[in-house]
Amino acid sequence: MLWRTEFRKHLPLFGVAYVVTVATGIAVIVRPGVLAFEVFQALGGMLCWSATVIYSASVVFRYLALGADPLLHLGTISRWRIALMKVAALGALLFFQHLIAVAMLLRTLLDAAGEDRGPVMTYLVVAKALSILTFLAAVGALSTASKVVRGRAGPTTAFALALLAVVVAQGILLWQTGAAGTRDFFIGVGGDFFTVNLYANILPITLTGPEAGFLPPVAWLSASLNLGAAVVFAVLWVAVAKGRRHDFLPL
Amino acid sequence: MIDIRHLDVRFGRKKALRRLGLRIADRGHVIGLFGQNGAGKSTLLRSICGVINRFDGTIAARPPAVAYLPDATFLYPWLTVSACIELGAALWDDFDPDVARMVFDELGLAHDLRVRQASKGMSEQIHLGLVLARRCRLYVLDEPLAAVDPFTRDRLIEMIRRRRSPGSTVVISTHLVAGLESLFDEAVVVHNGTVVLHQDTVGLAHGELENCVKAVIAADALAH
Repeated sequence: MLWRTEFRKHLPLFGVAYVVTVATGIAVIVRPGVLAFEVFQALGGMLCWSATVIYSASVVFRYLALGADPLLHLGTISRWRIALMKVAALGALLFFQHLIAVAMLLRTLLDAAGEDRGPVMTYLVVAKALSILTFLAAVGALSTASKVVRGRAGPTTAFALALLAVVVAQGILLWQTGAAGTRDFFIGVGGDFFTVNLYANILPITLTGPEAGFLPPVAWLSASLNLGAAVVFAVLWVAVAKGRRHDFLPL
Repeated sequence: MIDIRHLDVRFGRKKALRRLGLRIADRGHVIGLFGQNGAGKSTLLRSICGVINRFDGTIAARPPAVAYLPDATFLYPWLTVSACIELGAALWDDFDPDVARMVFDELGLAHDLRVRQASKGMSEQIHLGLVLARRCRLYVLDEPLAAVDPFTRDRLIEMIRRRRSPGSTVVISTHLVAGLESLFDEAVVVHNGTVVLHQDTVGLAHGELENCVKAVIAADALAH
């Protein structure tokens, strides 16, 4: 029942995101080559993804730092278990959104990947899953840490700045370890043959250039960096959660 | 027994509780918590329940699980009454769904009624029904009678009375004093963040408790 209730809470926003992703995807499949539909698909996907990511971060932050969803704080179940349930539910919803987007682009992706279909599809699924995991682990750790600041504005500002710093730092780390000097890049997702999508935490970064191909070594490096970051944030989250006494409802 | 000593709770610069001391014995009593708006009643109840954990002072021997009814309902609007019972069973390991069904039947709340369709008073009854369906040593009810009509109030009071047992203490914060003397075994009056009266109320005649509460608050206000 707790899981069902948790998914139900998030359904309105994710439902809209799923419908937009499917509708714009179907429009492109049915009428290929129509620029307007392709633009709608790209813009719709970007806006929906941004909205659900920001929403997911705010749900976890508000629960852990601001005491939102008070009924769950009053249960006999551990607050941390419920926080993990929230994170898992939001992670599943985000991942499903990604799968829908991939399904809508499947033909394009398979044609572009050619003989590398298996590895490319594996990368698209695994790298995104790790990206979502890292993001939610970071959100959990930073939300709990920001609770040391009292009030609403203080923790919210601290959390937002810290999360931004984490994403930027992961981006710089990725650039320095694997991507520097080889290609151009832009922030966002690209679907051409000569691009490769990397993830610095939740932020998609696209490398471009004729030598990019689909799966250069830097692609799996970005996924590995995210996996390492996820472990670090999970450990940090546990450490921060154990460290302090907290108030748990809006006061 | 819960033993509260020198309890200080601050919200920013404002001190909500000031070196508050209170002992709640395991006598199966119904304890009335009285005081003006802003006196610190809800803060005290939240501290007892573990909702507020940042304080100075000590709260010793707090039971591991407290059935707490907050001063606002937090139920999800799309839930039906029967879904609330399912949620209660998932949320509290001391929850008895059969008791909840019985309580809701007694209150005349249809099991397919959604929270969003319920009035404020009915929502509070649903939340109170869930709390009373728990099997705890301590029940803490913050204004459970505030938004209900007189008929329902009588039914709720009867239910709370039935909750009274040697193993279960009930603490109720309320502004309603008159006519409820027989419900309470003890009265605690909070004023300016501290307990100014704690006494047994057994044997008080109609109206005596209200007069006593008013007099104590007035005297404390004069003294400060």
